Amino acid sequence: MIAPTLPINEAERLNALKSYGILDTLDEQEYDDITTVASEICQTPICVISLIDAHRQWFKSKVGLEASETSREISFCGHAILNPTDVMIVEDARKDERFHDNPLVTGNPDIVFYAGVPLVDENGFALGTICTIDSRPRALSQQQIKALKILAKKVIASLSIKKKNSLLEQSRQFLFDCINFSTPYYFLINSNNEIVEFGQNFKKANSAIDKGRLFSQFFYWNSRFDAQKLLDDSDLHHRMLFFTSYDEKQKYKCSVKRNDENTYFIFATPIINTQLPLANYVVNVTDFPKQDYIAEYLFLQQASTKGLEDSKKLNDLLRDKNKQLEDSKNTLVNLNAVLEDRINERTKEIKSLALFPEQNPNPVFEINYGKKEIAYINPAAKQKISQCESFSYDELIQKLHISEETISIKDTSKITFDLNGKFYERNIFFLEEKQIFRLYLHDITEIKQIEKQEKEKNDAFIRQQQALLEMRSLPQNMPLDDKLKIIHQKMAENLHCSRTSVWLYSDDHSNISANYIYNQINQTFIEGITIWAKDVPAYFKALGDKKVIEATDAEHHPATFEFKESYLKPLQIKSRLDVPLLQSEKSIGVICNEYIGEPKTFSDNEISFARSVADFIVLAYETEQLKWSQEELKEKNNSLNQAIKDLIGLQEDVVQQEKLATLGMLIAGIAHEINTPLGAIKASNENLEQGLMNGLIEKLKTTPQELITQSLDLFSLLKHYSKNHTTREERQFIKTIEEELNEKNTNIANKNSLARKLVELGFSKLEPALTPFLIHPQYQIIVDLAGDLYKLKSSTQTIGLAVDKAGKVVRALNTFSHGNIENEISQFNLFENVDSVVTLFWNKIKYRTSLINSINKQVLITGNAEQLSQVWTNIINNALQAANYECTIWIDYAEDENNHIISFSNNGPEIPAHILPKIFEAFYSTKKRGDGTGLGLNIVKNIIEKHDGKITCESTEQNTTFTVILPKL
Amino acid sequence: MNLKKLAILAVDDERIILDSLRIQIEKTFKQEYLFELAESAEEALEVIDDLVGEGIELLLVISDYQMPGMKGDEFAATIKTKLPHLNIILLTGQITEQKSFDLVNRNIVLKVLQKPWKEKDLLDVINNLLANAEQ
Repeated sequence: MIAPTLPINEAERLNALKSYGILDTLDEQEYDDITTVASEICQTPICVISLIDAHRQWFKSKVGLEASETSREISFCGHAILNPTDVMIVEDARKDERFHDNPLVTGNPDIVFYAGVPLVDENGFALGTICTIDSRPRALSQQQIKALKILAKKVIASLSIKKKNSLLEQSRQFLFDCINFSTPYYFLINSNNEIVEFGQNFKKANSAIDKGRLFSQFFYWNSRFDAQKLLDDSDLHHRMLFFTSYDEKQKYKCSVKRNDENTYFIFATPIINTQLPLANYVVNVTDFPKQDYIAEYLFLQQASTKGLEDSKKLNDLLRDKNKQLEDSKNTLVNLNAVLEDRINERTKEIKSLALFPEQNPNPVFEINYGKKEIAYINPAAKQKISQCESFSYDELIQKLHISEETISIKDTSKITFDLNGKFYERNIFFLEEKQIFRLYLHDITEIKQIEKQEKEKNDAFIRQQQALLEMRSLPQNMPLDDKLKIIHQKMAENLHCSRTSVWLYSDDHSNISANYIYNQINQTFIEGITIWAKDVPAYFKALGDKKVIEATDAEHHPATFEFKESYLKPLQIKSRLDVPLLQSEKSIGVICNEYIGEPKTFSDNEISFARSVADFIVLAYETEQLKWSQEELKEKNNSLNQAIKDLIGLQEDVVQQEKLATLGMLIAGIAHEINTPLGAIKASNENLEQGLMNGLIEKLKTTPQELITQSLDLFSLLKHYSKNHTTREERQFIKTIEEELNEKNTNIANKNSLARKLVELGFSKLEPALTPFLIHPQYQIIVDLAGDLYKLKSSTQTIGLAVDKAGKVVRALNTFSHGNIENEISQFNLFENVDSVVTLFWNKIKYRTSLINSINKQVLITGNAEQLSQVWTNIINNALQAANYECTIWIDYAEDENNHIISFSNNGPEIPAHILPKIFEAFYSTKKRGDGTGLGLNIVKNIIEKHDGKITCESTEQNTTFTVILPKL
Repeated sequence: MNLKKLAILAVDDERIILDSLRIQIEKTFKQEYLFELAESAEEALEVIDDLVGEGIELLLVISDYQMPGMKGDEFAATIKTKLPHLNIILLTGQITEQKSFDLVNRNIVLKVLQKPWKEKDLLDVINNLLANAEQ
């Protein structure tokens, strides 16, 4: 916990606080109203007005809290006053290092949330705060903070009024005391009982008196009155006879009898707030025995003169204060006038008191209570209080609220009462020797009225706050239109306006329109209208200023005069108050309050209220907009979900299309791969059918048995010779055999032709085994026949080979595009799976590309064979395209405990480092537009991930390797 | 021996095609022509040089289209620069009609036969050529 530090101006601040005389006073409704409203506005259970004394915070008013004070050390408000201009908000005290272990947080009242607005007086001293407290974490809206600030000002205003009133009261008391008891003998004495100043009349009576001498030398005087001491004082009799009283307000009253046997009345008033530093008391000594009307007149005259001086001093003091007030606080503007009035009033009063009853402008009655007669009624009384001359004694004292007791105890206390519709304050002087009292009535009707107005203003403020509170309490889900209607009514009630309406700008600000206008007179809503900028340009220009238009005289106000003939006159609207609707500094419209009757000046409170209502309306619209945008968002979300669904469908289509695109690319090659064996098959078949068989059968018919036997022997030899020679080799063999035949110098006629035939039969040289056949005279028939047999066999073999070849291609196609069994998981041979893909690429890779498939032929893996084929196809195709079909591709297999690792390496160009991270992204393609779908590797990645596998790519200048890791299942 | 100096050259990278063609042609024309084989266009050009060197007249070249290295059309165009009157037949499983029409039209090849081909079509071409040669 961190205890609050002291403000730098702490000493002055404490003096300022004390000067308000508010500490330890009783509860007052006025402050309790404020805390109640604040608590309701902020929706917090606790609200207090806390004043920070030297070592404690004392609560002037509290809602939801038992304690009346706490030590300053643990107070929140002690922190809050350190920044008089800021609102201190602690959203969660448990998380705040200043408060987390504060007993007010850890225990009752369990403070969690705190918001305090410093109460700053006109001299800038933060006296305390108005603060709201909650036991759960929360925040305040801007409106709530604003309201709290207004209430803080209200508290300060109340404190100031109280202080001024109290000063006024003191000065008034002082003046009246002067008036009541001043005599020609007055003294100013200091705390040492020394005479500082004295009345010149006393100097005449006793020439011994002088400044600096002890007052007690002439009169009995002691600042501490002690009855016992008084009796024991032997010197007492020289100076006094007795004293009568010592009152609580530190005013010393005593009757004394001096040595000269005269009786005096001494009255001492402690002096406060005066410019006399040495003097502590003003002492008045009245010489009662000589009292008569003249004396009373002199007394009044003298007192009023003295009183006026003091009053002026006070007045100046108050003026200064007021001036400061005026500078600092708008809310207190009126107070100055009120105070001024009151001071003037008092001055008038004092002056009037000083006048002899005949000339006194206030009613004066002189009543003889001994004879129960009305002794005298002055002209002012006769004029102001009708028929007062005809009142009987009893009637009059009853009307003037004088009881038997008043007379018996000589009660001179002031009483206010109403008489004939006016308020009077009553001052009584008793002239006991004559059994007369004199009544001075002071007309305070006006003051009462001001007080009443103040009270009404205050009440109106509370009502307005309550109206705002009610508006804020409207249910969230209430339709905007219903809300607005209630707002219209509340606005009309609180501003006393006949017509209220809410206007919104069109999108282009060319017009404003109201849906309806509320008529308070018959409490109905009438249809609204649209107002165009072109019709009332001045009004729109004024709206553009975004300021409150306060038109007491609407017909002539620069903003509203345009409405005079068409609108204001016909509807008898005299005044109007237009408040802009501001949404984050931007004007969205205006609220209009129109007043019918006498021109009305809207008070600060009313304008402030209208502003708050405008804020609230903007808030209501914002809420509505939010609601709309939420629904819009919901709709958008729905369509987004639909779009995602569509996209998933589309993605499946795209994968399919990608496959077809790859297939299309391969199809031309595949046609060649199939048509080539088909060509061989067809040719061989036709050879067999149409030629060889028939020719052979014919030959066999005509050939002697011996030659047939020889041919069959030769044919059987051929089995040993394979036919895997290139055409180039064969041509070499023909030359070799021809040469050998020439060397043998046989009788063979066409050695080249024979050599060709022998090579055709699979020989690469003149084998010794051939000799018996070649030396036979019919060698040509033997070789031809064996050749024909061989061709039979060869054609059949060719068909077989071709069928195998075609079959392989068809199988590869089948593996690649596996019919409709899309998601079938099966166990299959990895080598065969990869090889089928290689087959499809064969016509592309057989010339300039080497493809070395080193996968172990025994490896079985589990997965979707068709999809994995697509993976191999894409990887190989990419490698081929990147290397322009001139590279070597190595396909290798490795495994660890859990994974199959299949790698495809090629020595084609390096993939640049900046491209490498992107190659698996969808629609990323380095190929020319139209050459690739840009989806190949993305689909590859998706397929591998579907198999819970991983694919990575590394590329260097020498090697680019795609590694596919598939888990063993 | 006029006949002995005529040769037919078949070019295809698939040995089964070459073997089938040889049987097909030898069956019909017996030993009337030299039947030469080559597995690529490059090899075929060497063979042609040899034949020309030996004074053997080349009656016909039957070539595949899709081959390693030089393709059929390029090969045909190359021969034509040396032997403008040589007859060339393209035997292919993979050529568009537009392309074949274009090649024939530009007199680069005599005819384009699609794989699988009919024996009769091939023999008709050869017989026509022989008839023309005799004239």
